[in-house]
Amino acid sequence: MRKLYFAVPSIIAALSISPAFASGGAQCENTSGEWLSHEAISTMATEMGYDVRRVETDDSCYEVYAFDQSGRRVEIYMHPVTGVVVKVEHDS
Amino acid sequence: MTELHIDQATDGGGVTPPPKVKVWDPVVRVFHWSLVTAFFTAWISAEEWDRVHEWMGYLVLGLITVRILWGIIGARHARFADFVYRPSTILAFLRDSTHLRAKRYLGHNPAGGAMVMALLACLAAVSATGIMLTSDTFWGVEWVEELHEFIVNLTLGLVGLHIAGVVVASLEHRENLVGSMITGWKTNLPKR
Repeated sequence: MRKLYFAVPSIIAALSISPAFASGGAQCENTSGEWLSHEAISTMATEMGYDVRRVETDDSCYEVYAFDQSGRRVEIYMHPVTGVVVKVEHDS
Repeated sequence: MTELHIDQATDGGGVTPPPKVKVWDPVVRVFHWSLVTAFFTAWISAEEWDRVHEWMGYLVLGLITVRILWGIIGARHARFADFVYRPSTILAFLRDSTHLRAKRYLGHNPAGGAMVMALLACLAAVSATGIMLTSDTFWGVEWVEELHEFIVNLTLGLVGLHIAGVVVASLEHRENLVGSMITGWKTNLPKR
């Protein structure tokens, strides 16, 4: 029984140091040109069929909080200069 | 939980080690260290590893729910009734602590008890705002995210104060409070 008390924290600790660490966010390359405005990014995502809630700068990319056409919550990572979609994350 | 009460005056004057008493039951101890681990893991996985972040958040919520129930029906020193004091008592205790002459408590002292309640309240608010952020209604809503982060920072500040309080009280009464939270045992010193 005593061992059990330490099992839970140990498992969590092991999880937290595990190497497969990054899944959130995205990286955008060559972002030195002129950045698109939040409005422009929002318009582009809307034209792609997303229902946009918010545009935010996340590291090197724009991060767009939106709903896709089937109503699922998504985070779209878009290149700040070209507007190209780098990654789409579905909220679990 | 059996409490050990040994009257040292009847000890015959021999040199006996001070009696040990079990203060923190397993629920309190497992809760404490699981909460530390879950909160810390949630903190470092934020915006890095969403799934882990969310599961740690649910774990925090589960842990504080159990702790609140245990605060009502649990063992003696786990119960809120054992460590929730009136504000004037807490202030007087803090004043005494600054002069290193605060009374020793076997369970949570008044400041420690207030800290337990403050941390539980903050973590409940962090959990609530975190869950809001996974809902359609609050998806991408900035103020919820900012509130979530603000309360997390507040919680981290409280954790710092909590650790400082544990260090001060440990030095003041020459006891290892961290060790007690691991083993559950404390030395049942006679009142000064």
